[in-house]
Amino acid sequence: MSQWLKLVARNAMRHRLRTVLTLAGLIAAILAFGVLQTIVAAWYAGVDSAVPSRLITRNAISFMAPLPVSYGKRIRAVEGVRNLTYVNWFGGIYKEPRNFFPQLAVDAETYFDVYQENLISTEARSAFLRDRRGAIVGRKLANRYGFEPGDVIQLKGTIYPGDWELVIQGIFDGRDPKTDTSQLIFRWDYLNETLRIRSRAQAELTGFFVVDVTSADRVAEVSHAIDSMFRNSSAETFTETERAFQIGFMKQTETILVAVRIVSFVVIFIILAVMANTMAMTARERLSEYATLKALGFGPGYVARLILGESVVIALVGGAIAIALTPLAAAHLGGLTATLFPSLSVSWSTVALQGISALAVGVLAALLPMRRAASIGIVDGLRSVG
Amino acid sequence: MTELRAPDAPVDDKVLIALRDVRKSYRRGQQIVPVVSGISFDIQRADFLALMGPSGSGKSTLLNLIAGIDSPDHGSIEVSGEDITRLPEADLADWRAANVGFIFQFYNLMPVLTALENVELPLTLTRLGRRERRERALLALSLVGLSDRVKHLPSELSGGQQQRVAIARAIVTDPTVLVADEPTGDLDRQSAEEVLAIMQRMNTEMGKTIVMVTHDRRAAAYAKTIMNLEKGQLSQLMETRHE
Repeated sequence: MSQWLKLVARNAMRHRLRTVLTLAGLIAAILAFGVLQTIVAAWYAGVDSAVPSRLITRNAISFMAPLPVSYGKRIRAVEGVRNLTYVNWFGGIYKEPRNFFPQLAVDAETYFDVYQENLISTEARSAFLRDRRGAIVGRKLANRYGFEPGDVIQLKGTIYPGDWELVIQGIFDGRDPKTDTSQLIFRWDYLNETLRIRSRAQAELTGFFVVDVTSADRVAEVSHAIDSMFRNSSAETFTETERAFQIGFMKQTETILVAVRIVSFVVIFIILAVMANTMAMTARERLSEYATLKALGFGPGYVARLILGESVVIALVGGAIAIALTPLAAAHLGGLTATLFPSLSVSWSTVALQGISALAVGVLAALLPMRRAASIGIVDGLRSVG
Repeated sequence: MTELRAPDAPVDDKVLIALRDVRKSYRRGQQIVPVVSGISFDIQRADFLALMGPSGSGKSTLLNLIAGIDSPDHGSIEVSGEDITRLPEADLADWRAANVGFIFQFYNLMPVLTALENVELPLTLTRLGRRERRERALLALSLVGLSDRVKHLPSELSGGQQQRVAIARAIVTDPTVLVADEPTGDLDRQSAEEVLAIMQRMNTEMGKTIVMVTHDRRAAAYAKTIMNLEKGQLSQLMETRHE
């Protein structure tokens, strides 16, 4: 081991308590940064997993305004449309309001043909089609609440008043880890028939249509054809790609995401200030040692590199531990928020950002102490008391 | 021997260190305080010079100037014929590494390095290989009687032992001159005498030129020449009985 490396390593562990506390702060900061970045990425997971050949047709006024379900037949007839399903956001409460998870009333016949990333057994699908009160839950949701086929659950409607009893007929899995399996889907015809009795004005309507186009190249042409068909009608449509639809949905929460991003960088800035203070204190205590080294013939660059090395070593060790802990923290958080985030896995870009942040903290924290130690005169340095 | 010279006296080839009209002052607020006021003298090879004087007389400043860790406002300091006041900072650092061995009052060892590693430290600036560096460091430690303490950290050594490690570090590069600033100022009487005896041996047996600042007359008695400074000027130069 070179003398420089030896000095760097031993100096780093010279004040163990100080180093351990600095490391703890670094680990907490880089870990928090990684988890917050993972949350932001998970928020956009729906956008990333959007299928390019899938279109969403909604009411042109707003996402909240419904469309007549009868539009489906006409949309299906548009050239380039391979398949179509329709979906209604239900927004019910399962036992308590805090038990949030997406509940969608869907066309049971076509839903799984359009959403082929939701994998379901033939038996479960047949059972779902046989039972008007049937429901299918995603694996993540089933795991969270312990749902099993045959279970009867009750939802309290918020948009659609009253109690809604559903029988779980199966569980679907995701084709890949990014597929959202935190949803409950049940039959739109069950919803509609009940609404005919309870709230006639809400019947025969759906939230949006999901259109499966024969090729991604034709989405512009098909969306234009659909919207043209309903122009000047009582409920004009707006058709966009699933990705654009997801981004539009995200836009509503963009402020929160920006705040989360800012907080993640503020955390890094705070630890940078703490680390810079630690390194300044360390360098101030060792001025006479740096002066001695200079007197012996070591240049200012050597002294500066000693400080830089120590700072970077501490920062990288803290960063490495934090990076190793981030998947565990994300998994734990993912368990707690399974129905909020389809996938809470740490991406390589987040790991790279964490590494770069740790390195940047190490380098930036050392800059001022390096400058001071390198520029101080030998005689002044020898006089200083550590 | 050390001899006083006129500010414009020529430098003899046999002289190791020649100072001519060296002046140094410091700024204290608005005031400029002269510390060394036009000193000229020669130090011969293998001399052991003790610089004495009251606090603020300029003896440590003079030592720093000779060692090349401070620069004069005026005058020249030639060491082996090279005027070190003209050297740029980087060259001066190289010159110090090759020509000066430092012994400080508070030892100034690296606390995280063992005695052997501390002594080896200046050798890392040379082209010597790892094994040769180690052999030389061990030899230097044996010369100061610390062969059995090579793996000890400074905190595990007494003050006298730490100063002996510092002496080993000072001599390991075989420098032209050893400079010592109050080398016994932090030591008890017995340790101080051991350290001074070693320094004297370095001078008499190894022919090392030593310039030592001290306020202790008993320490100065180990030197061959004693120079007194007062208010930045030489007030007295005398030889001791040692040869």
